[in-house]
This record gives sequence, C-alpha cells and structure tokens, in this order.
Amino acid sequence: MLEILDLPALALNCLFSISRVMAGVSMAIVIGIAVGLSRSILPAGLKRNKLVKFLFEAPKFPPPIAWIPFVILLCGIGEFSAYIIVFIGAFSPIFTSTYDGAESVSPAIRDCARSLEIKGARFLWQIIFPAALPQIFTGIRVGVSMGWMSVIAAEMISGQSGLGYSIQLNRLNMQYDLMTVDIVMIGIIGFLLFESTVFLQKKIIPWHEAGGM
Amino acid sequence: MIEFQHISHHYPGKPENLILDDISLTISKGECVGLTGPSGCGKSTLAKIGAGHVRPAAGKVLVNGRDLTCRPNREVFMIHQEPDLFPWQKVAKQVAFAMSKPDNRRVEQLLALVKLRGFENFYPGQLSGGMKKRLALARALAVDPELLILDESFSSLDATLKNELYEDLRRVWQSTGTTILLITHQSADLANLAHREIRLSAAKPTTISETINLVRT
Ligand SMILES: Nc1ncnc2c1ncn2[C@@H]1O[C@H](COP(=O)(O)OP(=O)(O)OP(=O)(O)O)[C@@H](O)[C@H]1O
Ligand SMILES: [Mg+2]
Repeated sequence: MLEILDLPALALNCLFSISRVMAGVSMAIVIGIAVGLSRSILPAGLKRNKLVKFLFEAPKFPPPIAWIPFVILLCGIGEFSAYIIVFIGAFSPIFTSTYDGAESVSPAIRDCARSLEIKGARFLWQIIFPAALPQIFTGIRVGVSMGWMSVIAAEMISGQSGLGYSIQLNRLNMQYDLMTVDIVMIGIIGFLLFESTVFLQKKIIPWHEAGGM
Repeated sequence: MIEFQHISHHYPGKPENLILDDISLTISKGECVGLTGPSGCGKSTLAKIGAGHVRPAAGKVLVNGRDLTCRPNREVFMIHQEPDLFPWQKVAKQVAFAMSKPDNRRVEQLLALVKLRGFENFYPGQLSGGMKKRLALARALAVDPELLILDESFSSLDATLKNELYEDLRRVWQSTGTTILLITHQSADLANLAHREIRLSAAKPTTISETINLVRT
C-alpha cells in the first residue's frame, strides 16, 4: 500500500509547512508582545473604556480559517498569505497572554522598580517584560499550536505545497493511506514544535523553573 | 532627616473611612525607629506614603527639606511586606542593578555583609526564605537611601530565624549606619535595635498613641 510513499516529497512538504509556521509565529511573537505591552501602558481610563476593550478583544474571535478568503483577496496565493494566516492564528494567544502578564505584575515589584527610578521604556523593557515572560511563554506555546493548525488549514484551501496541500492532493487521488501518513506527520511535527517552545522557555527563563520568587 | 508632616489618609472613594489621622514623625540621620501597631492599622500604608508610592489625602513627606510626597525616589527605599525581589535577576545582578553606579567590589561587600557570598549566581527562587530576606536587605543597602523602611520584613518567618535575621540587621545597621524605620507588630522585635518605638493606636482612625524611648544595650 505504502510502496508509492515518496519520502523526498513528504520531507519537502514538511519543510514547507514548518518554514511557514516559523515565519508566521515569529511575526506573531514580535508583534503580539509589542501590542500586548503597549496596551498595558495605556492610561487607566482608556484601559477601562469598553470600546477600546472591544477593539482589542473582538478581532480574535473569527478563526484563522475564516480569514483565508480575505487574505487571498488582499495578498494573493503565495508564501506571504500563508504567513499571514499563521500570524492570525498565533497572534491572539501571544498578545492576550502578554497583556495579562503585564497587568498581573505585582504592585510590590512595580513600586520597587519605581523606587529605583526606573521609568518609561526602561520600566517596560527591564521590569514589565521580564516579569511577564512566564505568561508570554504560555501564550507562545498556544500560539505555536494555533499557528500549526492554521497553516495546515491554509494549505488545504490554497496551497501549492505543504502537508495540508498534500492531504488535499491525496484525498483527490483517493490515496487514503498517504493521507494518513500526512495526518500522522502533522501530529508528530506539532508535538515537536510544542516541545521546542518548552525547551526554549527553559533556556530563556530558567529562573521560572527555579520557582519564580 | 526625614519628616512625615501631618499625614492623613483614606483610600480613594472612601473619605469616611479615614485610615491615618494627622501623623507627624521626624527621623534623624542614623536613627533606627520602630513603628508598631495592630494589624490593619495602616503601618504599610504609612510606609508606602513615605516611599512615595501612595499619595496621602493630606500631609507631606520631606527628605532633608525636599518635598518628595508621592514621588518614588532613591532617598526613601522600602522593603515591602510582599515579595519584591525581581525573580529574573540573579543574586549579584539584583544587588548591582539597584546601585546608581554598578560597582562589583561593593556588590561583593554587601553580599558578604548579609552572608550571601557564594550565592551570586542563584536566582531568588533558589534561595531559602531567610536568604531572600537577606538579599532584599543587601539590595536595599545597595540603593544607599536616606531612609530604609523595613515593612514586617521578617514577621512571616519562624521565631528562631526571625531572631537570627534581627541579629543580622543589627550587625548591618552598626556597620552601615543607615537610617531605618522598622515596622513590626511586636514591640519585642525592637529590643537592642531601635532608639524609640512609635506606637500606632488600635482605634480608628489611626493616630500615634505613644512614643517610647528604648534603652539600648
Ligand atoms: N489598596 C487599598 N485599597 C483600599 N484599602 C486598602 C488598601 N490597602 C490597604 N487598605 C486598607 O487600609 C487599612 C490599613 O492597611 P495596611 O496594609 O496599611 O495595614 P497594616 O498596619 O500594614 O497591617 P498588617 O500589620 O496586617 O500588615 C486596612 O484597613 C486595609 O484594608
Ligand atoms: Mg502591613
């Protein structure tokens, strides 16, 4: 049954999907953290404002797959569109956890930093950001998973390559055994991506493993 | 010299719930003053007003005559009742970070003073409860403030460890001469350490009920 399994093609499809998720998630990490931190330094009045809240919260409800037609319309079918779809999937959890993490920095830590006369950008970068990192990593873990699911969906709808595209192709050719191989690969790679964020977290915030405070 | 002038306070939106009522207190350079009072009387609130973290409803905080009310500054540094170490900074970094100009020799001296030599590369999460308190003390000394406020720094620890830490504090105080406001709910903690004890009243709103001069041995 599996004698027609084309290993080089499978490897290539895996690499395509992985590179897309990497690119999209990287964008989501940078922009998600930046927007999350920016939201946390809005004046208290704006933070409580329901309209502001709505503008930040509402866009995360339409799932990445629902955006695909618009992304194709605006960016065409290509690598960049795939990145955007991954970005849409990964951005929300990273943005949300960054904002929540920044908001939950304890008053004692904030006060202490202010006593040390740490202000402005330095306060954000040297105090709020590191203090929020454990929660940011929670968001990145979810974001990577979301991004991975999104890229498969995007490839199934509009791809020319990748595991999602391969599933579609094999479905049309009724090669259900090859389709199963794709599904299994998606599971394995998803798991490995998740594990690598856990590994990165241990490398980047070892102090969190050490018990935080 | 640090002056608390006619400090009154209620938390926002609750003017009927006056917590501190006209508290005046002067602490001279080099003094160690104890501040005691029952739980909830407003000791931490007064400390936060002193350090500029809370704006009092009325009154001023003067540091050597300069009005620093509600302006967090390096002149009045408090060790909070809640954990306030930066969990992402290693011991040595934590102390160096608090200095106006990082100075490795001074970091070493301070760590030796609080018996944390050899733990330079530990994160706060890897230290015991008592060691964390000593690190907080070393960091506060690194700031080199005009007034150091310790808000129930050792209260949560068991009696033996607490006494040990007060012993350390006494030693540190003798060698650095830092001006200290020591907040605790037990007058006994102040023995052999504070020059005088300011007692806050149990009745609301809180006032200074008495000032006791302590004999120091
Ligand atoms: N952020 C706040 N908002 C509203 N009320 C507060 C706030 N912080 C403290 N309070 C109130 O102010 C009063 C004094 O609190 P504070 O923490 O200063 O007491 P304390 O003397 O330090 O007590 P303890 O010995 O238990 O630490 C309490 O009644 C408390 O409920
Ligand atoms: Mg208190």
